[in-house]
Order: sequence, then C-alpha cells, then structure tokens
Amino acid sequence: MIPRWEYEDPEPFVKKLKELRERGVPADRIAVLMPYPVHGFEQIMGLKPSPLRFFTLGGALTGLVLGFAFPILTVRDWPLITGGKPLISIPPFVVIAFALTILLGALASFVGFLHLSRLPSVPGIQNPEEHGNRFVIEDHSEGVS
Amino acid sequence: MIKLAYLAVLGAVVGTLLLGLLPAGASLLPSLLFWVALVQGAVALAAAGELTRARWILPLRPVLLGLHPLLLIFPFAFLVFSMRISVYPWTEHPNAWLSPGFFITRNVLLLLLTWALGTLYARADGSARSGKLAVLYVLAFVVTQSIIAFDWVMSFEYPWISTLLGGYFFVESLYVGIALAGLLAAWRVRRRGDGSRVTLRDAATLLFGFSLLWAGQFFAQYLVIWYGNIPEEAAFLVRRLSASPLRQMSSMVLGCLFFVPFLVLLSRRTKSSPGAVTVAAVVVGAGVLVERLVLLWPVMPLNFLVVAGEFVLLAAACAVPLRRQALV
Amino acid sequence: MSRRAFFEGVERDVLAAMKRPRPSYWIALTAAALVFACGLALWGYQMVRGMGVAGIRHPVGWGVYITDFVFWVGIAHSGTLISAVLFLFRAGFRSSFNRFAEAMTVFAVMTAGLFPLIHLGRSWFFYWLFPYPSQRLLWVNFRSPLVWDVFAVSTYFTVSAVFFYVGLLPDLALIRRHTRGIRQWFYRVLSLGWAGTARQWNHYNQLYLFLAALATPLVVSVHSVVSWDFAMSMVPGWHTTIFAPYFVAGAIFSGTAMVLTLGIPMRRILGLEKYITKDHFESLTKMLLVTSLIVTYAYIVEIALAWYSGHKFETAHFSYRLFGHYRGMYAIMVICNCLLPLTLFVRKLRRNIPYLFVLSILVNVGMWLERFVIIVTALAKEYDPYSWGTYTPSWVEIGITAGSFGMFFTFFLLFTKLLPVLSITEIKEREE
Repeated sequence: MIPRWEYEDPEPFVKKLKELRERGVPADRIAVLMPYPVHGFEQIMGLKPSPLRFFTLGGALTGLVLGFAFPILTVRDWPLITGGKPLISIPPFVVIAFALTILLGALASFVGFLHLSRLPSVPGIQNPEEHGNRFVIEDHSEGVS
Repeated sequence: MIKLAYLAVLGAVVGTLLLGLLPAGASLLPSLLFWVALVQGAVALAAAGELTRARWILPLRPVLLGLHPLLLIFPFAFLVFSMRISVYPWTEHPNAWLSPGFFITRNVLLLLLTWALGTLYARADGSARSGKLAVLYVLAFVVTQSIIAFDWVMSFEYPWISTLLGGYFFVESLYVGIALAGLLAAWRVRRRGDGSRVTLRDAATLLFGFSLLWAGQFFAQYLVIWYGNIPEEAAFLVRRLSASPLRQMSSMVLGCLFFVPFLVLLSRRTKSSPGAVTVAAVVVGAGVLVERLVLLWPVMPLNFLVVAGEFVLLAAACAVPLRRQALV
Repeated sequence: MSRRAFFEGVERDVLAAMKRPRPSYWIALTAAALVFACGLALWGYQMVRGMGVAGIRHPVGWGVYITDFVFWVGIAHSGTLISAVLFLFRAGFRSSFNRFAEAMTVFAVMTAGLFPLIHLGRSWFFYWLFPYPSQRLLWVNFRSPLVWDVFAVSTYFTVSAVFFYVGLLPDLALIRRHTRGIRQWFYRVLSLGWAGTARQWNHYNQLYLFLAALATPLVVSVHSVVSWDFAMSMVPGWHTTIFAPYFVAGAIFSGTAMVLTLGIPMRRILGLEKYITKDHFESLTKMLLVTSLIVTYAYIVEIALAWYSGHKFETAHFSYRLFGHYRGMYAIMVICNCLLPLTLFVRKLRRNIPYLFVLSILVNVGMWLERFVIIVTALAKEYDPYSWGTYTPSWVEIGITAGSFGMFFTFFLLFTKLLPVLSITEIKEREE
C-alpha cells in the first residue's frame, strides 16, 4: 500500500511535505500532484532549478547567429545595392537578428519543456489521473528494497 | 537633516558660481546635464514606484526622496551657466523660441517647478495627497527633461531636430536613477545582510530591463538617421562617429549603457550579488556622463578641469543627504 | 468561504460560459461570420478585378489596408503586455484579463497578417516575401523595413501563440474532468496528458518565466519595426525618430481599449463580476491614461519641433495635417486620443463601467483615424507640388476593413465557447 495523503488546502499539504522531507524521504520518491504551483514547493522538495534555461540560451544564441549569418551570406551570394546602403549593413541586420533570437529562444524553450516534462504523455492522454482540486502526496519510498 | 541638505545646496551653488566665473565657465554644462538627470530621475523613480504600487522599492524610497533638496541647485546653477549663453550659436540670430531671455526664463522656471513639486511630494509622503503629487512631479519631470534635451543640447545643432531626444533624455534620467537605486540596494545588503537581497534583486532586474529599453531608444534614433542618410540630419552622427576620440567615446557609451549591464545582469546569480550590481550601476553612470560629453564636445569648447570640478562638487553635494539616509 | 468551495466556484463560473450556447450567441456569431465572409468575398473580387477597385492611386499608394494592418498589430500588443510584462512586474490584476487578452492578441495578429497579403494585389505571390533558395537566385532585401516586418510579425504570432497555449495547458487539463465523450478526448489530447506533478510544475514555471521575458521585448520591438515602415522613408511627417516609442505607446493604448471593449460585455454576459472587479478595471484604465499621455506628448513634440526647425517641408506637412483636407479626421483623433482620456484623472469615471465601455470604443475610433491620418496626409502632400493629391477609400476597402472586424469577432466568439475565458488556475493561485 502506497501511503497517500490528499488535502483541500495548500497549508496542510506544505506541512506534510516538509515533514516527509525532514524524515529523510528523497524527493524523487515523493509523487506530488497540485492544481496550481504552491508557493515555495521547489525549495521544500529540494528540486534543482530546471535545466530549461539551457534550451532557451541555446535557441536564443542560434537565432542571434542565424540572424546575422543569413542576411550576410545571402547578400554575398547575390550582391544587390539597394537604397545606397552598404551590402553588409549591421543596423538593419540587427532587427532581423533580434526577431530570430526571440523566435528560436521561445521555440527552443517550448520544445525543451515538452522534453523535460515528458509531454505529450500517452498514458496521460488515455487515462489521466484526476485529483480534482486536491493537493496529493504519495510516498513511494517504502517497499523498494 | 533637511537643513544640512540645503547647506549642501548652498555650497554647491557657490562653488558653481566660482567655476562659472572662469573664462571656460560654459564647461559647467556636461556635469549639470549629468546631475540634473540623476537627481530628478531618482525622485521620479520614487514617484513612479508609488504610482505603480511597487513594493520592492519601499526600503529605498526615503533615500531617493531625500535627494529632493538638491533639485534646488539646478535653477541657480543654470543661471550661472547662462552667463555664458553666447556659447550657443543661435544667440547671434535669435527667433521666437530661441531667444536668450525666454530661454533662460523657461528653463529656470521649469527647474524651480520640479524642485517645488519634488519637495511637496517628499513632504506629503505617506499621506493621502502623495498620489496626486507623485503624478504632478512625474509630469513636471517629463516636461523638464524634454525641454532640457531640446534646449540645452539640441539647440547647439539648430536647425537639426530629433523628436525622440526628449524621450531619450527622460528615459536616461530614470535609468541613471535606477542605477543609483541599485547602488543603494547593494549598500544595504552589505550593511544589513541577506534579508535585503530581494530589494537588490528587483533593483538589478529593473536595471537590466532599462538597459534593454535604453538600447531600444538609442537604436530607434540611430537607425532612422542612419537609414535616411539625409546630409543635414546625418551630420549629427557623422560628427560623433568619424574620428577619434569621439568615435571611441561613442562606442564606450554603447558598451557602458547596454552591453555591460545586459551581460553582467543576465544571470540570476549576479542579480543578487552586491558586487556585480555595483559594477553595473557605476558603469551605467559612467556611460551617461560620457554620453553627455559626446553630445556636447563636437559643438562647444570644453575645459575638462571645469567639467571635472563641477562634477565632483555636485557629487559631494549629493553625498550629503545620501550618507545621512543610507546610514539609518 | 472554504478554499474548496472557491476553487469549485471558479471552475463552475468560468466553465459555465462553455456550455450550450443561447440563441443570442448564435445570432452574434452568424452576424460576425457573415461580415467576415463578405470581406473575404470582396478580397476575391479585388483579386479578380485588380487593385483598381481599391482607392489607392498615385500619390497615395498606401491607404486603408496599411491603416488596418498597423491598427490590428497595435491591438495585439496590449494582450502581450498584460500577459508578459505584468507577469514580470507581479501585478495581481493581470489574472482577471490575461486569458482573453492573449486570445485577443493571437486573433489580432492573424487579422493583421492578412492585410499585407490583401495589399499585395497578387496575393498568391506572398511567398516571395520569405527568404528561400529560388531558381531565380534572388534573395529578399534584408535591408528593407518590409522584410523586417515579415520577421517581426511572424515572430510575434508564433511566440504569442506558444505563450497562449502554454498558459492554457493547466486549464485544458482541468476541463477534462468536466467534459464527456468526444469533447473530453479533444481536451485530453490538447492538454498533452498534463498531470500537475511537482516536476512538471517546476519546468512549467521556468518556461512561463522565460516566455514572459522573451515576449516583453517583443512588445516594444514589433510595433517599432512596424513604425519603421514609415520612419525609414524620407517623407516629411514620416521620417522622424520618435515614431518607434510613439507607435508602441499608441499600440498599448488601443489594445488596452480593446481589452475593455471585449471584457466589459463579456463580464456582464457571462456573470464574471466576482473575478473581474472594478478595481481590476481601474488598474487597466490607469494604463489607458498613461499611454494616452505619451501619445499626446508625441503629437505635441512632433508639431512643436516641426515649427522650431523652420524646415519648409516639415511645417508644410503639419499645416496640411492639422488644417488641410483631412482636418476633420485630425480633430476627431485629437478629441478621442488626447482630450477624452483626460477625464480618467477623475476616480469616479475610472470606476464607471458604462463610461469606460463607450470611451474604449471612441479610443479605438481615434486610434484608427490616427493611423489613417499619418499615412494618408504624408503621402498626399510630399515634396513636389505636381504630385499632390488626395485619397478616398473605395467601398471594397471599407468592406474589407469591416470584414477584418468580422474575422476578429468570429474568432473571439468561438474562443469564448471552446476555451475558458479566464485563467482558472491563475485565479486559484492568486487567492493564496
């Protein structure tokens, strides 16, 4: 039998979570379900900051590089002077690079989130575990020997 | 405490008068431009914090508002500067807007108005009227900084216009005010320990955001002038970008006001680090000062001893209320 | 009231809007869809007959279509401001508006994105705007503001859509519980099997923060890029440095007004007064007032500096704008954008819901006219007197403009029935 506690309010939920952590139950053995992210739950469960930021940074840097590389390479491929501007003119290319930085940063973050959260989850779609508005804690540490 | 601040004001005005009487007295202008931005911006930040009901700024507000007596320096310092008003080329062919009498009167009146509203607001702090006075101060601040941009700086380049210059100046004024808030927040963490790190982190986040906002403003002005490439308009940029040392100073401005604060304050850890925030804030302040020099040097002769002397004088005047408040 | 009762109340009240629609809803939806269909038909007519059926000629080559484009992109900005910027500033009142404001953003950008295509004439060649390796060996001109537009608006649409969807995920998961059959499968798939585990919330919080941080510069940059369509020219009245922040402020101004126009009736019809209070509306109207003041500042600075410079072409342009052929529109624009919002300094008026509704509509009328006045007066009277002329929109252009409103409201009405109009999860979180 897996010990399971369900609460209507976040305060007793937080108390029980702290109690389990003080007892020494490792965070990856505690399954938690929340209707919304309770304030401070990451610290209580000792969760490391999400590695999502590496996805974001990677995407943003790619966008920045592409945003300059693409205009520069294409204008060298077909050099056409327009409006008397130099072929490789940095101010206009800054605008393109800015847009691509944000676009690829956002898309990479979204893809990274899906990967890190294991979504879409087929069992989650076929048979979702509904807990209503309750805050649920399950202690999976027993009986793993 | 207020009386001590007004003594500092008196000292600063007398010192400015002495410097202004020198033949190179017009060189007061860059330092005046810097300090008027910082002092007015600091009070404006406090007012804006109240209007947006920002909670992070609460520990810093008394210190920022404590600068309000210093607003009185500027009308008098400007009067001293106006002894050398002939440094402006338009004084030889005055017109309706650019005539010495009207020019001096409107600027002195606006500077007095910001001092009056800033003082009323600081006195009313905490009472029911403070919201309304905060609004009035912010409106006066925006108008004053815009007129300072158009009158003190843009008129050197008459008939060149940039409609964004007014907005650019008041954004820079807020920016350097936030840099001061960052310095104060870092100082608080050093004195009071980790409890104040929230204030520091929020001040650093705002400084980071304003580095982006400043860069956007700068780029908006630069891009339009660069792209149009109209000779009468682009001459403004050409003067400041074609030769040393102005060319390097201009790059330094971009580095100090955007690249350094943006890169230093990007990570979450540095936002809570007093050392990093102090460095970023000082760099921002240096950037604004160098920018004022870049704006003025091509169009007026500058004596750097007078510039430095006035800068140190006004810095000392600011230190008086800051030191008293920050020690509390 | 216990937490549980509140949570269940929020779900019940907000999801009640998604039940079987009443006849009045069908009437509204049909009307909007009909107007949209007429707009599409007129676009088809224009493609068959040619651009001559539109009123744009020499010298005014940009008219109502570009006005509509700028107008709709502007409206989109307020949704992103409320979602992203107010999130970073931790403003609580945001949760009363952010869901339907984000929807407004997505639909407005979609509507805006159609107009460059309509304006193209030969819309089927739209793909020439994107850089792809073609056998003609031609690449797009990255130095042109029109190409910057392509990148900026595409980025804006993508990021807004992603942000909207991510914000919806927890709500889509909870709708699963309240639906049956095929509808339930629809929400099960859309919610990707979201369970609300600690790990998922950890990653989700980070994602939301980063998306908000990335979307915030978009609020400023996208409309700046749109304003540079005009500012990069050498036309008097267009070539001015203030355009970027001025257009951004105007965008947030008209977008906030549209949030009010949509939110006030929605709150009444769906009975959501408990979650969208007068205090929340008052915070929005303060944003409206501040952006109105910035727009007024820009108007004053432009005119003052044109007169100050004594520049012959600048002063001629502004005389034309204020006193020329379009002076009536200019006057209405100043009244709606500058004077009427000043009444919002009065607290009682800020909290008077019917007044806010009327004012918000007038603001959008004023802002549409502002874009029209800026575009048309500058082109009607440029440097060379021989090429001066005027512009009158044709019935095709007016019909397509009306069709764009039909499109926007069709999508918005569909949204109110398929998705929760308020962010249930964030309202629960806000209570804590």
